[in-house]
Amino acid sequence: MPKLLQLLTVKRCKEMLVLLMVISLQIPLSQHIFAQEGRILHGAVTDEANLPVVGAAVVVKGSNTGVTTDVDGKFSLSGLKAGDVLEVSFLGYDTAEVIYNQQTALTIVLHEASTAIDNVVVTALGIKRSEKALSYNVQQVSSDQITTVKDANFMNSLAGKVAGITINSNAAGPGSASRVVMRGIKSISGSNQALYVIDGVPMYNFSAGGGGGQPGTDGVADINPEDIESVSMLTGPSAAALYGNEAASGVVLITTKKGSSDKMNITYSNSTTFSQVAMMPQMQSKYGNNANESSSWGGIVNGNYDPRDFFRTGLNEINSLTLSAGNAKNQTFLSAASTNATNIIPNSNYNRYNFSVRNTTTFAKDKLTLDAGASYIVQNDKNMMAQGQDNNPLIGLYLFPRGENFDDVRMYERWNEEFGVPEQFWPYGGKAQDGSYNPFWMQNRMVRQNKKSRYMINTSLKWQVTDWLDITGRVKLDNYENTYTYKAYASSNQRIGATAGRGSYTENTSTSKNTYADVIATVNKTFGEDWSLNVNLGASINDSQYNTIGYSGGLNLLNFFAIHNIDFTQSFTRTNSAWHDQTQAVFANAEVGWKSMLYLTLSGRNDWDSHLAYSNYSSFFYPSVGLSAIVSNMFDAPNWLTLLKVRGSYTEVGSAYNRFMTTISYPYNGVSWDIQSQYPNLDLKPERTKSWEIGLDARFFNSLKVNLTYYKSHTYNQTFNVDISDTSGYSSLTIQTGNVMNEGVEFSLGYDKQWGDFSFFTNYTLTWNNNRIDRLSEGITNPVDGTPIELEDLSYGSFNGLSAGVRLRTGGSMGDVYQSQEFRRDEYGYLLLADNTLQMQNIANTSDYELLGSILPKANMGWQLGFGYKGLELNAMFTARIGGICLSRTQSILDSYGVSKASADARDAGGFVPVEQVYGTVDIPLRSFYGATASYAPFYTYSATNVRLNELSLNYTLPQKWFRNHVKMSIGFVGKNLWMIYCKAPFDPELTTSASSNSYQSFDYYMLPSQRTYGFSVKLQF
Amino acid sequence: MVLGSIVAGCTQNFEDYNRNPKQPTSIPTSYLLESTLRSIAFQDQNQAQRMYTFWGVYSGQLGAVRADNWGVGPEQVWAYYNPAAIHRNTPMSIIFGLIYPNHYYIEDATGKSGVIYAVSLLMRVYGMHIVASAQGPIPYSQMAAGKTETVYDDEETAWKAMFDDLDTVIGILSGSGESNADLAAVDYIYGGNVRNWLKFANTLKLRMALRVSNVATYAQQKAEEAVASGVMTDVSESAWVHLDKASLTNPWFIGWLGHNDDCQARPNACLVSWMNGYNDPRREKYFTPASDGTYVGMISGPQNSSRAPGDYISFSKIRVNGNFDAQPVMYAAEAAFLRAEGALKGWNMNGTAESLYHEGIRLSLNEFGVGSAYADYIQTTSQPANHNAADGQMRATSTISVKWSNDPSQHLEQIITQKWIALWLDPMNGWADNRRTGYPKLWLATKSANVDVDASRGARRTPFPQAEYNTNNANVQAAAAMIGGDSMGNDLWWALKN
Repeated sequence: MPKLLQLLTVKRCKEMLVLLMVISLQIPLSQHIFAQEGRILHGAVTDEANLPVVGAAVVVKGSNTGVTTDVDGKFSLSGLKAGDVLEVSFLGYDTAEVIYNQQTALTIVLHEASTAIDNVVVTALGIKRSEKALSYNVQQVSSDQITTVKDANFMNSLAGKVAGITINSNAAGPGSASRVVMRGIKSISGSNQALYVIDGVPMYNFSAGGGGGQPGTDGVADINPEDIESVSMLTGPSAAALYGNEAASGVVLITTKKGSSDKMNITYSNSTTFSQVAMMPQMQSKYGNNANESSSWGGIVNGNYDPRDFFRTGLNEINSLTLSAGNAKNQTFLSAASTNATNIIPNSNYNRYNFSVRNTTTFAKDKLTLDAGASYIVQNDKNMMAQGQDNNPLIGLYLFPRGENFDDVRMYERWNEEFGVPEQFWPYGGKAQDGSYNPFWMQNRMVRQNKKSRYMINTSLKWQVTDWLDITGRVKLDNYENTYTYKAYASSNQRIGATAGRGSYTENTSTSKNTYADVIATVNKTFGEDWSLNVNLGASINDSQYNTIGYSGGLNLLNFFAIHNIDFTQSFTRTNSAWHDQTQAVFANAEVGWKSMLYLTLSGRNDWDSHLAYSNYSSFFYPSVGLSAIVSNMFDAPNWLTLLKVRGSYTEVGSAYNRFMTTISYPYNGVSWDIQSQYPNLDLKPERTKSWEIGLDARFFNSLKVNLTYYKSHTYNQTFNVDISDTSGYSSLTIQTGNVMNEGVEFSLGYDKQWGDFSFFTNYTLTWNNNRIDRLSEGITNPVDGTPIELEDLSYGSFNGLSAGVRLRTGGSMGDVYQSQEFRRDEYGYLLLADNTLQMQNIANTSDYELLGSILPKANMGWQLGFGYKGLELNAMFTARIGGICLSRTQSILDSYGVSKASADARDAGGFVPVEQVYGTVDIPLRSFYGATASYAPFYTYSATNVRLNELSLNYTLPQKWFRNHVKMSIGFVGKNLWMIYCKAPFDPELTTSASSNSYQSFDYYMLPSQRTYGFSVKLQF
Repeated sequence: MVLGSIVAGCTQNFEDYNRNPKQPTSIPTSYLLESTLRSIAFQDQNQAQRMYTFWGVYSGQLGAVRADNWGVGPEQVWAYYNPAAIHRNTPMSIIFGLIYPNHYYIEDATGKSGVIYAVSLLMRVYGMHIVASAQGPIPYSQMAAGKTETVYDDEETAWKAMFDDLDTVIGILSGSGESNADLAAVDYIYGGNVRNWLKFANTLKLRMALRVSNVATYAQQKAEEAVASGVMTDVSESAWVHLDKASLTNPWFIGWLGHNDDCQARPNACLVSWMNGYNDPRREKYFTPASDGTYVGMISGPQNSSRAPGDYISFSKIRVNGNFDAQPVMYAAEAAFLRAEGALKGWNMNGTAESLYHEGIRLSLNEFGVGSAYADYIQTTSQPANHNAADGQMRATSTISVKWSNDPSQHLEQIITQKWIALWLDPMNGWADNRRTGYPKLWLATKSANVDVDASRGARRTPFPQAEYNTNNANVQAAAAMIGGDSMGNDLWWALKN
């Protein structure tokens, strides 16, 4: 290893925390030599523009003596001897060495680093690699980007900051699972969610539902952002080739903090933010309801009912404490954090407590490094809610009859004398009518809760066998237990006297055990002047087990919630499911470097996956090859060209189909054993993605960074279920076919510069992805009788209540929404009417369905801006999504119930819809019109393009001398989703209600409104 | 390579791992009958609502109301012949899914022999005759395991094939013992009593024979065979689903009554008015009294289409008391009325039309525990009453009474009308009889919101499921062509023509 490399940890402005290797360069200075000794040297450090360099390190080489320059770039040193070498270094500049020859004053000019700026990034398996050698795109994000504007789920803080990745926050609010998709949707049946890897070890990202059909949190949301050192995004499969299988959709690599190797650091931070409704549907309260009707099609009442008043201000408070200490041999890191968030709907919250400890020790003459860590997470949530018709208070809230008094239902329960318990007060139609409940009752008396505890223990031992060979073994356990309960009080679903009116109780306990272990040997050797070799050889095992058991049913004793109080003489359900997955793998990666300007990387991995058992394939292998050329090292590059790198790679990634697909078994249907409605197909092959990418990384003047990647991938052998005709006897058939193409561009452009006290930083990211189905099913045959299956079009998901759904067709994209209804017309083309009712019908042939657009964005953009002056930092982050459509069932229901603003405006304008008939115009009452067209999707389709100010923060680091340099304190004001600059949809199209579904996106079905968040943060460092 | 072989050596547990630990890989064949049996008693709430709503409404037994109907317009309902898109998959998608996967398995496992197979085949015929009576052409004779789509039979072919299968069932059951232990484990209708299943099969055969009696030359032969082999003759042979034995819930209760007082379906004004006119003793068993103590049904498809459940709070309700109330599937009384109609046609039904008519009434009154009223009831000469309630007024469309008429031209209407009254909560017949004979003279909706349906004739069939257009397009288009288009106004093969 070259000794002249100096490792510096730097933290700068809003930029990444990077490990920067600065190559020291000796700058020859001709100086006179004086004979005197022991004098004081007064020096100054400036840059090429003669501006002072503040905070530059000036050390006497070979000693412990050193100082840093003050705000004027000045320093003084005493006790120097003639011939001492002063080493002056500062980030972004070449380190200067000056021989002391007894001057009394000296000005040292630092030159901006122009030669190799050599970033080190974390790549697959946690291996740190020189960025220049990588043949694929890796984008690293520092912890600042995550902790400045904190979110209960840190992934939400990354939206727009990295190219090639689309992150959608969940409508369910704090702590809920985000949807993270890299380089487009590749798999038809897979989740397409990225794989999360913590310190090189894949994490099983379980997702726990919020209960009652609502989304909940997931494994990655548990992570304490203060534990994160950096996050690397491996957007392409090339980067992920070594993880194979689960990494086919890209990898989020999380590197956690280690203890400090010099002084002790204690950091306390607090983030307190408030959330309010940002976007919700526009309502009316002018027109009331008719007697006995729950829809508002009555006369003018000019009420003042505003559903917005139901929402409260959510509070999200995150406190965290970290301690970092150690010496060169032993480093310790401790952290504790609490996250307490209340949602904008009453009695809904998310709480999390994180504790972690990590110790890194080097011993046996520095030959062995033991890294051991443990974390414990306690998390609970209550009434998480995103959308839909179940467990959703918004139905009763939004549809509330406008002629009635909402204050009457705030007292949501009334005492029932006969049974001696309170009962729901909601005279506006029970579930029988329109699925509505008293929203206050629902939040307080139909309570869903998750309580989870999770622990992770990891140990790794690295043995530095020789200076060019090391072997690392790692083991990680990640276990959790979650208990879900649902307590519905008497009268929730039926009147108390009815059998199912006595309340109900559900309790489900799930346990998950995940064990990962690997061993990797690394060879790192140079041969002569020109050749370098880096080889990793390894084997891994990943074992996951899951078990859930639960009961659900009505109660004997009223409102007493225990399994033994379930009335087992009445209808009840028992749930019991389990699985055990295991993947074993061997892998190898070799990188050959030539003259630090050309790098060739080859990798291969073979997976044995338990999902393949009973099939004809016991394992699958996938290779990758890549080439990286540092063009700027190939010729005498001009000073302004800091770095120019061109790279390209080709990768194949395999992926197994789901578990239990190769055997036939009989599910329990609640009463007896049953047959699966899925047509069995036991002849399955692993899915495969073939991908290539080319890209370039360039840096100019050391402050302007350009990163451009073009990629293209094809995913074959997709396993998916297609709806088949009921006349087959089954409802779906498992087939394997398909070729889904994704191509796209990842582009980022950054500029970062400091002028004295002033700094400026900006970063723009562009993600463009084009998704196309090249082949759906041609050439496949019925597994039973061998006849060809013609599948021109595949229903991929529908939008509840609207005549639209995502359909897959050759040549189309995986987000194409087709709609299936049309108006019936007479022979002259006039709309047919029957009793003033417009005649809607389904379009007979699917091939005639009307394409409404795609729910996939054409492009996502992010633009960050940062200004710094002394301790003050102002940062803004804009995000934009361009292209695609979204649909709102909410709007259609609000229209047909007569509670939308649009329905009031139309009544103000007369209340009729004129329809041309052969004999003249017929005025159709608005209510009848809305009733007939309520499911007509084209009326409720909107452009999903939107632009917003996503993050804004103002931070001030108080001068350390105020605290006699003992404390570093910063305070900040932060805001999130503050300003929707452009959006034509009636809801926030970027919210997701399902992290994993590929088709149920961009759809509003009583979705929780989007939230605007603002607050402050305080950070103290001791 | 070394690592590879080490790893490969450790994968022998994979076969354990990749087998669902909570699902057996083989089960006794009889267990699969359970799901098949549910095809005649829809315990799933949504299935029950979809199956029974349109049959009940079109058969004049039910009035259904969902004022806001999840935001779909007030006339986007079956009652106005204009069902919302999601309801158009009824009944084919529901019944096919419940029957075929299990039936194919049972066919394979039993080698198409034995009682389990026979009952499974019987359920197939029962389910398919319901689908065929609703939509017309169905895939039947060409249905076979291993296909991903099947052509539709024209109605004549399908009905003939159903009769053939029914004869197979009757043949197997006739040659089997009195009871079957495998069957008993899953049979919550007859508890494994094979003799009763044989009577069920023969009664179904008789019902089907009369349904096609306008058009099929073999109808008389099939009907006489059924009677000769033995149809139901005693209330103990009536088919009721004993839900308490299966831990299932009564679909009528859960689907319409369980939620709230403002239930979504109530007795139809037509049936209630007829029974009011006859002062029928079964009313107290069928309905709850209205708030004034009388029995008041609701008009299905009233002039004001935007009525809400709350408008009907004071009306009578369906009398189903709880989750576990047994659910009727086929009454012994029906067999007697079917024989009466056959006798009217001059078929050999082991009795005269008059005696069998009286036997039907007697069985029905006994079924509901009001047998003591029999002697008085059959002397009733009053006529159906008019309806006059908060939801509007309707004038009786029939002058028929209970007492066996001296005018032979009234006998068919009398038999069909009394059968209709007797088959309470077994709604699969009234609408079919009305389309076949014009009786009972049901009150149709006051208007049609579907240009294809003439308000004076009502719906003549249900549409093919939209899903079929998506997955089996060519075949369903061919099926539509068989009946002059997939319109709810087109008449089926066996029905009276316009």
